[in-house]
Amino acid sequence: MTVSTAQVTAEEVVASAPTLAPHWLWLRQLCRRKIALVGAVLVVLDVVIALFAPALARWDPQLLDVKARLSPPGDVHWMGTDDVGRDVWSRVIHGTRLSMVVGGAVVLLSFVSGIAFGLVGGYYRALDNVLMRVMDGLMAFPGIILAIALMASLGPSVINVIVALGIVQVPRVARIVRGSVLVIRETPYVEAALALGVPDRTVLWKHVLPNCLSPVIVQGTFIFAAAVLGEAALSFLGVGVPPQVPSWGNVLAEGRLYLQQAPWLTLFPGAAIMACILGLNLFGDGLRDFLDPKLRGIAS
Amino acid sequence: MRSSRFVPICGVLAVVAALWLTSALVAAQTAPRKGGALRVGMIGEPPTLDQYATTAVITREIGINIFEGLYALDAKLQPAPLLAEGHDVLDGGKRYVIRLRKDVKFHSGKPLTSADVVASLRRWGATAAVGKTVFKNVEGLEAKGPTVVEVRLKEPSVTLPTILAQLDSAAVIYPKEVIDASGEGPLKEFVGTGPFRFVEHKPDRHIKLVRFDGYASRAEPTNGLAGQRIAHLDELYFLPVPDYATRQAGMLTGEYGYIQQIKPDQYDRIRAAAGVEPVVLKPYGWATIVLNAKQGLMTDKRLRQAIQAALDIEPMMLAGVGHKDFYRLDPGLFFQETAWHSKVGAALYNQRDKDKARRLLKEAGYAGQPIRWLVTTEYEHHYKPALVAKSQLEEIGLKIDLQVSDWATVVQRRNKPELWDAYSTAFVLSPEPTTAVAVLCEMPGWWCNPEKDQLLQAMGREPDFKKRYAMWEKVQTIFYADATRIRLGDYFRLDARRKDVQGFEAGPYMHFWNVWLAGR
Repeated sequence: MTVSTAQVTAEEVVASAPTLAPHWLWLRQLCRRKIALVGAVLVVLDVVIALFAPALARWDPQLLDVKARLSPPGDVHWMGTDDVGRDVWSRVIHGTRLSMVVGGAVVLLSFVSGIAFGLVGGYYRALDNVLMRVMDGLMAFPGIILAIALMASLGPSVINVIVALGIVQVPRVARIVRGSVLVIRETPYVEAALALGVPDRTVLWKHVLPNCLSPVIVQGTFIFAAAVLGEAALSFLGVGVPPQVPSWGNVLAEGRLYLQQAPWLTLFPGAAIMACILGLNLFGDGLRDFLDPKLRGIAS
Repeated sequence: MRSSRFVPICGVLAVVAALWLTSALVAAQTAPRKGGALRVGMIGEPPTLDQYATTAVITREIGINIFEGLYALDAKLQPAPLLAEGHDVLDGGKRYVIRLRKDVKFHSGKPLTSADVVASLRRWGATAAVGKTVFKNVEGLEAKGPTVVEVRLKEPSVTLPTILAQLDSAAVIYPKEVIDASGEGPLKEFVGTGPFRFVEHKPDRHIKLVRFDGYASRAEPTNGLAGQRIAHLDELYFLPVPDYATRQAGMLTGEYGYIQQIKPDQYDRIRAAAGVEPVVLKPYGWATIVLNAKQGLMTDKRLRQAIQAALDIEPMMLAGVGHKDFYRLDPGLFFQETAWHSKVGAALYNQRDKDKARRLLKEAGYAGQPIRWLVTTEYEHHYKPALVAKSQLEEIGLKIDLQVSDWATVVQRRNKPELWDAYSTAFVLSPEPTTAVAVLCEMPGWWCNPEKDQLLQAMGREPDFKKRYAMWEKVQTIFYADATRIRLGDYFRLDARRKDVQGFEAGPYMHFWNVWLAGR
């Protein structure tokens, strides 16, 4: 039943292909995966909120109005106020921006370092053992423990959170890239390039790297989600960004003492984290299916 | 007939027996009993357990159970002999001959002698903030026999026993061998004469003390920190729990027998919780911002005065304490409940005058340099007022760089004048103005005004209270004029204990002798 549906869907796709430009084709295929679409919408929403945070926030997230402390959600403060009278809506909105920045920067950092280690390790067997043992060493620590240890030594700041979470994610990317490179370097087109005297650098850049990107890109969405969650966790534990910086983890941590008195302090940042992570995971799943030739065309 | 009488008699007897049994059970519950381990949730880690090395309250709150001084403060904050048997004041207050008790032993088993006292007081005079102030007036210190110590002063002092009894960088007595082995470095062993013995310090896990079975208590009834001390508990654990919510949750679930520093907005919740008793310490301390008068931007008096002029203290205290019943605004450097309370200088307290502040900034030529402000989140009454102050001061054009860290780090960094311009702290109840940390030159912040220091020295010599009080008012006037420390408000501390933690005496100096666990 599933197979026939898949066949029909694939035929439809093929049939419609000539009428659509290739760059619209992937969008159309993505749109067919409704859950992935929900994920994409949530992610896009977060990105839009992050981009326009100053316009969307009604107040300065650091503005204190102590007399209005612990005000419930209402017309003036849509998500209420915290224990020093800061507007929770504005802090959550600015927290979105911080989470997106941290997520994006961690993905970038882990991609640049992980891909470099993976390519070199997979291609030059002499270095493979050394590099992969280092990666194994990093992976031996639970991610959050390693991040806490790094933060303890680096000190609380946004840059340090990015560095700490980036280091945690590097082995994940390096391992995936290395696995792909090990296969690709044995393929006839790489052997042919080498036989023709193409330098290693060109082979790696033009023939190996583009062919091992798909799984890494999918992994990128999960790394992004892990980074957002990691930043929130570190800030919640008091070792992330400085406590006065509006981040989801900080807002959540400040609200935990007032769970009974002022539940909005934990409810809204908690919901923001949940929506973002859910969106990223759904989008990541959809992207994986889309990029996998075996699953392409099977709508979920 | 016989049976009709028999039934009521039996009933009465049964009621009497039940009452007796109940009262016996209640008595058994409330009577002191030995044994058990008490877990105390602390706000963090002490920077050290050496009592001389810091005025940090957390250091003395643990150390008070391990170490003892020659004198202790009674309930009226008057000195009473502790390790001392008594003393004679000679030469019009210039010579103190202190006789030691002969039955006191250190935790190592070694008896206390005058050699230990002399070595300890010398180290105290060289390293402790209070000790340095006192030793400016000490001419000689020597043993006059195994249990007699003589202190010779340059100028007469009426306050020496009070100073030796006070607990901010307290003059506790360590064994001479420990002091010799430590040299000028940090103390290598923590050996005292107190009712509890130090066992281990596992950083970020706990500090463990056990009952010192060789403890020789004084015979007088307990009176504040003076008099009889009995260690009922087998073990005492001090656990660093920096997070307010975790401490509170641990108390509600029974993880901790005692916790310190709950947010006062939680008072009603704590009061309503089963098995938990709130402990209110009133008065307890006053929150303050210390400015660096030794190095950097804040050496300019006009900048300090600008900060003092700008601040609106009410919202700062409300943010820091959260419950209106747990703080009050008052200009006095001593609490309203003490004889030293005064309102002089009140015109410069809580001014809320932003125009004046801007004018002073302009006069000082302030050009937007960041003010490095050390603060911890471990104390809400430090952190939240600092947040509000940052917002208020940025309104007048100051740039505040709030550097948040744990309290132990703040205490370490504040000793290095090149690292900071301001830090948040609080001063707790002090029995004696001349050595109150709030006015000491040695306290990081280094408020060293010659006129103020001379007044404090003169106060130490002066026996007449009225004259001393007049001098103290001058000190308070200079305090506000110099603006090296910005007084915020008084705050009252909310702790909590499990109801089975019996014998605890709520007061400004938390301690766990005479405390037992009922029904365990």
